[in-house]
Amino acid sequence: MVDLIVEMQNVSFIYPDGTVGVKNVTLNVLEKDKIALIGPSGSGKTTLIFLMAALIKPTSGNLKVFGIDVNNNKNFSKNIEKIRRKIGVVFQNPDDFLFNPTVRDELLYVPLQLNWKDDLVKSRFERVVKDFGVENILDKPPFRLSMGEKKKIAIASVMIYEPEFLLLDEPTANVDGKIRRFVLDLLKRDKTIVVATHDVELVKKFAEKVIVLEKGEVVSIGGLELVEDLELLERIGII
Amino acid sequence: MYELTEKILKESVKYFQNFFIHEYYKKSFLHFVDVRIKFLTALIFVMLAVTTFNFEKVLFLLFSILAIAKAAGIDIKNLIRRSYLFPAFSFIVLIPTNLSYAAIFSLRVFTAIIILQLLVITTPFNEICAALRYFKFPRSLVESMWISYRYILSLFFDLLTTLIARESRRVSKIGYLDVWKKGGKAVGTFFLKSIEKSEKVELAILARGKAVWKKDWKIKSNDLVFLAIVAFVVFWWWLI
Amino acid sequence: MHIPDGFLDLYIATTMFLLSFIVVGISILKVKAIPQKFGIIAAAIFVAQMLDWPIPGGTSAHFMGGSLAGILLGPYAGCLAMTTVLLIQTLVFADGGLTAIGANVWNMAVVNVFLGYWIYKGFERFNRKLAAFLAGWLGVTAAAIFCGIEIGLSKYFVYGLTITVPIMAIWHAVLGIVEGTITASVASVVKPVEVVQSKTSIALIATLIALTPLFAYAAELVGYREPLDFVADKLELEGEMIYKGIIPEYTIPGLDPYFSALISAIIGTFVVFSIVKLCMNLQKKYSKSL
Repeated sequence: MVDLIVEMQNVSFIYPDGTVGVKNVTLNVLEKDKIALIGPSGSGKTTLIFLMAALIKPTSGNLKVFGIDVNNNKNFSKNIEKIRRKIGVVFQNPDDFLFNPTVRDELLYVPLQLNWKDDLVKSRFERVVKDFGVENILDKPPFRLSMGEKKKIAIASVMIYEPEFLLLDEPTANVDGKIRRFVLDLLKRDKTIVVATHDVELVKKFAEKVIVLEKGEVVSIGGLELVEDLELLERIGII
Repeated sequence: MYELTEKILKESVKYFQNFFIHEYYKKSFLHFVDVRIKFLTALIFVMLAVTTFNFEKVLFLLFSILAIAKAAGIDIKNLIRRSYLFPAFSFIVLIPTNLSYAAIFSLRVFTAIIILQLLVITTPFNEICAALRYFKFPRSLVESMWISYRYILSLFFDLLTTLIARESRRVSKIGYLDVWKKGGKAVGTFFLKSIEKSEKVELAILARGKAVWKKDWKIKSNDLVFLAIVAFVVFWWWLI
Repeated sequence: MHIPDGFLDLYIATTMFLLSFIVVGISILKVKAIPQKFGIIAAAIFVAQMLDWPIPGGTSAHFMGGSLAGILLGPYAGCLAMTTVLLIQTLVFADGGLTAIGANVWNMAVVNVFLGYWIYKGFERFNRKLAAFLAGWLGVTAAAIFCGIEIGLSKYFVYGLTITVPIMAIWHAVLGIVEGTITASVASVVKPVEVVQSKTSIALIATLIALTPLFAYAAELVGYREPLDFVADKLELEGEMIYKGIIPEYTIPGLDPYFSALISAIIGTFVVFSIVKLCMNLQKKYSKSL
């Protein structure tokens, strides 16, 4: 049986200033799904990512992440850390995401919380540093880096703990071809992956399911045929 | 940590209502009264409310103000909901001294808060800034108030993402002291960003100029009507 | 700690307003920066105050940020940032009264900011984090003590200094631990600003702060009465009744004047309401400007 990672039923999220994040969303994420969330700016992609990662609670509706009901406060706060270990979220804007004084601290932020053995920390760290090619910037503060480097560090700081459920928000916005290819390789790994993007080319290369959002509502769920539907894409303003 | 993020979302709801309050309310008679007159009236009414311990005077003032609000079409229930908490608290605190004193004291406080709320509800912030400038309030303070007010919303979302970013990579339980420390660091990061933003805003203001509050200060007929009502209330208060 | 209208009598309110006027005035003269800078920080403090920090026992406390403003911006700009915060709180949220604005600025934008900054500077050379903790903790506690002094001296408020000051002080000394811890964590991330303060302005502001209770007391001496007598007088009741504490048993005849007051107030209100309505209708008829 395939496991259910995220279960959403009529989920809405309204921000305190009245802005609609998402409205009446019902969808499931299954294990090893490769989902692309597409939609124009302000269509609720980021809010949906935050909800799927159990970072915010719906203002109405039911949401279960890894089987835990986020509205059940007691059970949720008991188990939330266990879930967090399995989830890796990378924000759209790395400036919002990186908060440690150096790149090294950034990468070690999660491993140090997990009480891993020193050997494991060391080997994971070295592998990620090599994979991402960040040896020469380890002691720099993240906010001094270029946009592309920041994006890389943000992804690296999540990949270091090998989450099984990966949520990426606009991973290819503002990056050069090299990092773009790198991200694409990452998306082909054997994990459950949700990517919010309006990069149609990227979607074609990795996604198996496509969810189209408009003004906070899901307008259609389907396969790759949706990104071939130029009329749809044009109407909601992606291309 | 999670509580912190949740609470800011909850807490902020009531704050943001104030920012959009002018959109909730249909424009009432009071919205059109000259802001300078409204401001001074609020000050005079507050003085009338607090300087007396005469039950009749306070009650008369309170009811007159509610009557003005009602006649102008303000939602009285909402007005009271926004004002009752503190007076109720002071009443309870003062019960051991003397019941009638406690009642009158809290009623005065309640009346004063209602007056201020009424001013706030019916006056957009840029008009308040304009009035403060008219009364020769220091320009730099009014400017900083204006900028602050403009940026509270945007900074709120900055703080929210800062907290969420920390939460997204918190994979172990932490105690109170840790919440304070880690949360404090998150707030620190947020302040760093705010300082950076202030530098950018400084450049933006250099590029596009400062806000000016120029108003056409002209007394209109509704101002005179309002003044007459105020004069009547003050006179009667004095008469009682 | 925001004092609403009705707690402070006008003598104290005016005294506090004048004191605040002096220090805020000095700060405006000293700060050369464009107000956008402390305007944004004021907004940031405002937003940070929305956070409710959990404390053991299920309650929570919020952050005030006075000392932090002093440490981050230096005392003068910090004072202006906090003044901005307080003005917005009064004029947008009706938090804190119009007549109490002087006292609120004095407690939270002057005492908290300047004392916090000086405490930080004083201990910085030993340990930066400890200095920031002490600044946050003692700054808030000092502000609360001043708040207690003002309310305690006020003739309108029946509880005297011996009650208001300890309650405010003890309560905020406990809450101040959270404030201190957070101030320390924030200050460990952000680099504090270096401000050169001239000795005369330090001396002047420190003297003003130190002498505040004296000023407030002196203001009260103008036509001074014991608060209890004063209130009794104002209430037009027998002095001894107040001391008894509870309304005596024969309250029914005592209630009578209140009842009649209520009736007359209702009639008065009705008259005001009718007049307002009438005026508005007339005005609508004769003017299209509305």
